[in-house]
Amino acid sequence: MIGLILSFGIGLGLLIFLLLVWRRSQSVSPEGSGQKLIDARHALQRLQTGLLPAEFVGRLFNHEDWDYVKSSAPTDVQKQFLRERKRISISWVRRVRTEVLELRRFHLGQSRFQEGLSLRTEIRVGLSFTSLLLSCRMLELFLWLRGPYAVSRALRSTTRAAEQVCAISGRSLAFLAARGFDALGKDSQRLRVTS
Amino acid sequence: MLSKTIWLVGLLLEAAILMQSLRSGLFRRFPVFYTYLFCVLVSSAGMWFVQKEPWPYFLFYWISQPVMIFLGYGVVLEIMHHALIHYPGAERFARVSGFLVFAILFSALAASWLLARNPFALDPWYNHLEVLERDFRMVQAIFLVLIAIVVIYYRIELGKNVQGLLFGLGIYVSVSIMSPELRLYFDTKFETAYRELQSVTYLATLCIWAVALWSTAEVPVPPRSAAIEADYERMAERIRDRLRSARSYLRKAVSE
Repeated sequence: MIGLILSFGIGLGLLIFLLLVWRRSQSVSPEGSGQKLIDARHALQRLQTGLLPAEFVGRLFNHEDWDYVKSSAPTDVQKQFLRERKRISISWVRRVRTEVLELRRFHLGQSRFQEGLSLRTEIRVGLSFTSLLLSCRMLELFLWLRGPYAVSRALRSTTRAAEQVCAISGRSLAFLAARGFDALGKDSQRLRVTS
Repeated sequence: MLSKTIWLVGLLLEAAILMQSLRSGLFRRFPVFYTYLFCVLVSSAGMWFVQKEPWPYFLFYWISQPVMIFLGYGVVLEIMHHALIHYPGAERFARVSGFLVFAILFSALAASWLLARNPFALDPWYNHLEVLERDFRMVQAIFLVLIAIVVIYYRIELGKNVQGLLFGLGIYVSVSIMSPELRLYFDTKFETAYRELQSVTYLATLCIWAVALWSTAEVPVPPRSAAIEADYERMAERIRDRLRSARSYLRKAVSE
């Protein structure tokens, strides 16, 4: 019985992975290297400027707005406000997740060419990306279940996390963008000197 | 009747693929694969002529099988080499993890053999050569899965030739693993069905190879960035630091 399960597990697993390779090959654009360059440049641009500014995030999760609406607006307006804030905050987390995905795509796109690639580093970076993406998913679920104003402590933490993610990603992307753009368009030797 | 028709069609397809490789020059690009296919053609044709004499037939079969399995591993390595030829980083990743998988698998097999608790049922290998073949195919399948994972993870574009080789061999190996196990588990109840399934799958594999290897296909290679290449470790380390900090803040937000 163990043999049967093993054989079917490996055999069907192989078929599933082949199917995934085939699906991926259908979605890969057939353009040549020029298109790849443009894609890389666009990805970097999105990474650099795509994340929402910190003040917007602070405003999104700010209690003052909610306090004002709660004190001066009727119940249905309060409900609508909460609904809208919840929708916007979830959209924001999704946006952050998309940007992290772009960052991962960029990293993989570059690391596949590295002759000095380290398996340990790759696994570490891969785990970091995966856990951050999972955290985004959990935050999304948290916002969906309890809303941005459900618990004040969590809200503060969420705001802090939002600001931190923006700041951290911003720094990270600035580093990548500087390297990436220069590398895409300029002489690599000169870059090494300036860095 | 059906199995003989499949056998004959298979022989013709193998001959056609080999002939076409001479015209397209693909035999120079995939020497191991075409050697493998040539050996399959020779053994199949030989078995066709001695099919009514049981002893020479089985001798032919059991001599050719180990050669095919050995060359099959060569084909897997050839697929890996051609799939990742322009991506040294991904190739290194696949090679190192391949060695790790290989070491783990064979350590596990050796340990289980020493403890006489072989989960792959290798213990009666001397009278179950089919099981032994299946076990070798399993290792082959694990390597093919590894190649598929690297191709998916690093978004590697495969050319039509390599893709065809991978799919053809993958489908055949997959069915070769599953059908003997069904035969062992359900005894001889569906004997004919299993045998036909394997034959039909092999024919499908030959069709995939014939289509994919009819002509040479080039793969566009994405440009690489020299500056980022030089700073791989630095880039990876900094990305990891940023992600670690971001993750800790997000986790705090969720847990509080």
